[in-house]
Order: sequence, then C-alpha cells, then structure tokens
Amino acid sequence: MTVFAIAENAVRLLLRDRANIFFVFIFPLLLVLLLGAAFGGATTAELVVAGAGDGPFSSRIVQELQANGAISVVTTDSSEEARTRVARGRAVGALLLPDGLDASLGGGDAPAAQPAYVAGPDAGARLLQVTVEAALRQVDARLVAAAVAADATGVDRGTALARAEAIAGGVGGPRVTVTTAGVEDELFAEYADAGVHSVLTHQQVLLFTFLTSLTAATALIQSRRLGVARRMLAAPTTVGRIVVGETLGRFAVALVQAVYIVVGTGLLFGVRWGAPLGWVPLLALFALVSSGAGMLLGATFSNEEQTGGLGVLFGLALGALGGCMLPLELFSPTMQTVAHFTPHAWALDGFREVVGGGSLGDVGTELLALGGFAITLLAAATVALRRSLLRAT
Amino acid sequence: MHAAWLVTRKDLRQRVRDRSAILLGVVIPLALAAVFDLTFGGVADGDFQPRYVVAIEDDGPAAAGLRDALTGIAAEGAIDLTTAPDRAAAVASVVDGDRDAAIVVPAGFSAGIATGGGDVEVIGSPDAPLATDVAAAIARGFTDAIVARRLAVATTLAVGGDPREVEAIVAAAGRPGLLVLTTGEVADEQLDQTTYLAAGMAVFFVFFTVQFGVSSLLLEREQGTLRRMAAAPIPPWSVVAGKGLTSILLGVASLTTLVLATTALLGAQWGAPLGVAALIAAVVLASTAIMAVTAALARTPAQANVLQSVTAVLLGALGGVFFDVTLGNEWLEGLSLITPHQWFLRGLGAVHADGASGAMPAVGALLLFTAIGVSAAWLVARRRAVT
Repeated sequence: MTVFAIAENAVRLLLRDRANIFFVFIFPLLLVLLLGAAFGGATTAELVVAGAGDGPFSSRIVQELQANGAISVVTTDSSEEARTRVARGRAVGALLLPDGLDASLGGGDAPAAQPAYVAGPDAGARLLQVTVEAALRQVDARLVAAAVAADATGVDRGTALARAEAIAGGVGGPRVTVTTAGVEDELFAEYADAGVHSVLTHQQVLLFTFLTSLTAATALIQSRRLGVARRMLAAPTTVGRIVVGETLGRFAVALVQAVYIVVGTGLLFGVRWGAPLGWVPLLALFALVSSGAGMLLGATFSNEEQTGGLGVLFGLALGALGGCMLPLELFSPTMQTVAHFTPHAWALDGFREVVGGGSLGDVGTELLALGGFAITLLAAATVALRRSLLRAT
Repeated sequence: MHAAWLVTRKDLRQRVRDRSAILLGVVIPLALAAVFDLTFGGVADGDFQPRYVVAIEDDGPAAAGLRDALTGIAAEGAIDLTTAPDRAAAVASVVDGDRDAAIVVPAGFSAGIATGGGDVEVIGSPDAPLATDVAAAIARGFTDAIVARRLAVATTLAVGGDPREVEAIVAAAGRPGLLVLTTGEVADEQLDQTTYLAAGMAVFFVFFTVQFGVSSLLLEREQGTLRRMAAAPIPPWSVVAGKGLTSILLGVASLTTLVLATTALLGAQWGAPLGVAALIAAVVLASTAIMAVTAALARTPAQANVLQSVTAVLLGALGGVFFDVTLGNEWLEGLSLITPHQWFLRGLGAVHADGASGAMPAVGALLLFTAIGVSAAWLVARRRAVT
C-alpha cells in the first residue's frame, strides 16, 4: 500500500540523520536525569551559621536550630562564605554570630555586637528568620531565668543557669497548635502527590515529542525542494494519501519516542505515569497532534535552515505556554486559560488525572480536545501541502 | 590581514543576505525570552504578604498582648490582618480562601496561663503552607515569652527563692532578653527572573550563531572554493582567521542586539555596561573556540551540524539555560562549571552584585575556555592535515 511505503520512507529518512538519534532517544533521558538531580533533592531550607565556636551559648543556638526538622544547618567559620552561599541561592538565609558572644553571655551581659541575619532573595527567607529568632529566644529564656534567679536569691549565675537548663523541659505553658481547614486545591494536591520529578518528566515528554516533530519538518521541506513529493504525486496516488503517509511516518517516530521516554523514565528513575489505559491514548493523540504540527510547518515554509529555527521557536514557545516548563498550577488564571489553547496543557491535565488514579474514562474531555487539535492541524497541513505541490513552482 | 578581512566581509554579506543569521541570532532568542517572561513572569518575584485573621475570644491582658503584637506587625506592612468575632467566623474566612491562616485565642487563655494550660490555635489553609508556618512562628514568639517568664519564676523558686515574692519575681522576669536578632542585610547575587531567562536564551543561541563562521570552512572545502583560496597569494592562516572573525562579529552583534532588545522590550536588567560588554566578548570567544573544535573534528558540513547541535544543547542544558542547575546537587553545580553558559550567567550575577569588576573571574574562566578550545582545534586540524 502506498501509504505505508511513504511512511516507511519517512521513518527511514528521519532515523538516518544521526542528530535525530541523539535528540530523539538520548537527550530526553539525559535531561530527565539532570532534572532529577537538580530537583529531586531535599525539601529543607538551608541555613548557614557563621562564627559558632565551641562556646556553650553559640553551640546551644546551633543545637536548637539543628533540632528543627524543616531546616538543614550548615556551619562555617567565615561570614563571607555564609553571605556568598546566600547570595548564590544555595542557602535561604544565614545567621552571623559575632565574636565574643559566648564571653558576654557568660558574664551575664548583652553582647557588644548582636547576631545578624542575612536574608536571601527567596520568599522562604522570612520564615527562616522567624525560625532563627525562635531558637535565639530559647537560649535567651534560660539566660534571663538564670539572671532573675541569681538577682533574687544571690545564688551564682552558673548554678542558676544549670538549674534553668534542667527544668526548662518540664515548664508548662501555652503552646501553639497548628491545623488546616478547607479543601485542598485539587491541582495542588495531585501535584504534590505525584512528586516533583514525575511532573517534570510529564512536561518533558510532551516538550520533546512536539519539538522532535517540528524539527523534523525540515525533512518534508527537503522532499518538496528535491521534487520527491511532486514525483510521488505523479504516481497513482492522491495528495491526501501522501499526507496520510508522511504523517503516519512522523506519528510512528513520535509515538515510539514518547513511549520510549515513558517506559525508560518509569524503569530507570521511578517516574509515575499511572494506568497504561490512561496515558497511552493521551500520548498517542498528542503524538498525532505533534505530527500534524510538523506537517503544517513543513508544508508552509520553504527554507530548511529557517524552518529548523522556527521549529525550535514554536516548539519551545508553545511548550512554555502550555505548562511544560513552569507547572500549570503556578500560572495565573489568565495564563491558565491561554495555556489551554495549546495541546500541551490538555495532555498535562490528562496525565494528572491518570497519575491521580484515573483511567480512560476520566480523560474523555482531554482526549476530545487533543483530537480536535489533531484534526485541525492535519486538515490545514493537507491544504497547505496540496497548494504547494500543485503550484507550478 | 587584509585577506582575512576580505573573507570576513564576504561571509558576513552572505549570512545577512541569508536571513537565517538574523533569525537565529536575534529573532528567535528574543521571541523565546518574551514568551518565557510572559509565562513565568510575576511568579517567583512576588512580594510575600500573608493574609491573617485573628479571633480573640478571651478578655484577659495576655490575649490583648497577642492582638497588640499582631497589630504592630501589620502596621509595619509585613502582614495583612483582619479581625473576626469568634473562632467559627475566622475559620470560615480561611475555608473561603479569603485568608491564609487564622490565629485564635480561646476564652480562658489569660486565666489559664497561671496554671499552665491554654493553647493558641493556628488554623491554616492547605493551599498556603508557607503563610501558615509564618503565622505559627509569630504565635510561638508570643507564647515563648510567656513560657520564658514561667521558667524564670520556676528557676528562682528552684534555687531557693521565696514563694511569697512571686509577684515581684514575675515582674522581674519580664525584663528584655540579652539577644536581639538584627536584620536588614540582603545578599542577592542572583539575576531577576526576566534577566536570567533573557541571558540564558541569549547565551544558548550564540553557540548557533557563531557556528556559521567556523563551519563554513567545511562547506567551502566541500564546494572546492577552499582550495582556490589556498592557491591565492595570501598567508595560509588568513582564511581561518577570516572565518573566526566572522563568527566573533556575528556573535557580538547578536548578543549586543539581544541585550538592548530585552532591556527595552522586556525590562531585563543586565547590569553595568562595561561588565556586560566584557562578558559578551569573552563568551563569544569561548563559544567560537568550542565550535571550532567541533568543526575540526567533523569531516563534512552535515556531520559538523550534528556535532555542533549536540554540543550546544548539551552544554546549554548542563549550564543552566533551561533550568537553574545551581539550586540542586552540589556535584551538579560543580559539573555545570565546565560549561561557558554557567560562567556567563554567574558573571552577570556577580556584576549585578558588585558592578563591572565582578565580571573578572568569569571573564578569566571564559578566556581559559577560549585558549583550550583554540589549542585543541589547532591540534586536531594539524593531525587531520597530516594523515
């Protein structure tokens, strides 16, 4: 059948280009690996403490901070290093303990230079600051208790301090209880459930599939330029069949790439995709949409080099707008609406449903939307290709 | 020298006529930076002002103390505070999404302090975990002060204080502490989001821009024009020099245009012009050298294309162009330092913090890349010429 012959030819041409082997199969996994390394790490905020020597009070402060499970404490001798770490974004904030802190506090006096907090640009710096203040308060409370006791009874400060430390744990008092109320935003909940790495990978598979199909548009241009397409027309076949054949070839490559990424990342990195009955149709339709977009690009433009660049542009731009770089959850409501003019956003919605436990039946709307995109793009590609083939040029 | 310049002029004219240089060097990076800015803009750099509602169901002085503390913080503009008549109303506004968290002081709180009971409740929205944590921390600041007083009293009594003087002891326990956390310093060497995206796209695409010059050498060899140039009475290195100059001029033109365009159109803030210029020059040299190595390794223009695309994309990804690699693993951050991209971005960050002179370490590193690249390209080309 002509259609399959055309398809097979398209696939063979695509795979013969070594660059494609790299970009289609190797690079996606590499990028997912990189993303995992970059974002799969700890979710604690880092605090750098500078200048904590061996003194009893500064080590007590560090101890209090280390007891907090939400932050990870890094100590250093140099306040410059602490500042740099915060400036570069590695640490959320830094606590600079001045020289002579332990000496002053030991003598019952306020230190000449107070501890200083250096905030980074991250929004979490404020929370870290109040956490540091809380740790300082704990230490301060014991110092004040010892001072009051010493003044009132004439006992020496050291003994009083030891007593304060001993009974501090048993002193009752008002506490703060924290609970939540209200329903979690569904999107947020499912996002948190799937794990950051999985969501990032969902985004990448869509980005790559679309990008590959668009950059493969140059092959179609080449075939038009070399006159191959026109000769195909000379055979007893219609423009429609040529479009179907070329699309089928690209669709095969796109689908294989997408499934390869899904299976590869699932096996190698433990990325979650959910029930196959859910993600396979989503991927298949998205691959069809991508092929259609690539066909449209290849049928409309005539300069290979320029189109290569344009393919990259549209691939990355639509990917970004569709939620493949920054998660949709973080978009403003306006941008979320804009995002749904791209197939990517619908596919991502679908993946979220499936990872959250859904299957074929739950992603009906998304499949319908993707189908709509596919039909529109393929129809436009057919019109464009027919026009370009039947022209006298 | 004159011959090299002729080669450059010819190449530049060819490229500009082709329009692909303009597309890849200016239009596409600019368009992408704009799209990214539109999509991501305003997300990361927001001002964090949590919205709280406080419900005080107690009449006592301790409860009033908490309300005053919260009002004080609100007056500074750090939080947005409203009051509710009771717990139910406060929780309702959190559930409705009007408020991020509710702080509730139950009836009997002040009276309960003496006996050690009574908790302050913070009820937060599950969609605002950060705001909830901050509310809890503020509330704890308040309760900690109460607990501290109790500790002072307990310690005094434990070391032999007179229980009949509790009143006086409690008063004395209210004295201020010895430690005060001073704040105000902000360390920020990071580029704002818009500039980071613009710089990332610019440095990513410059590798594609400079590739024109160096790989045209291969194209000319294939077309046969290289041999004819070699036959001309010109110094043998002038062709290579000319091609190299083409790459450099295209690269500098592209980056300069992008800096100006993103500043004017997107509001990017690149920093001190001298520092930025130095970084542009250095990264163009480094990228030309690296692309020269790939061109030297390839045998045909098609091969060179593949090698160059792969190199440019790999180095770009590792260098933090698509996402910030410095926020992750330490070793990933270290690995990214083998890419010119990361040095370029870091250099810009340093210029942002320290002015033009901050660019020096990055410029030095980029020049080192250039030296290594040029030597490697020369060695490979010589070995190829001999075999």
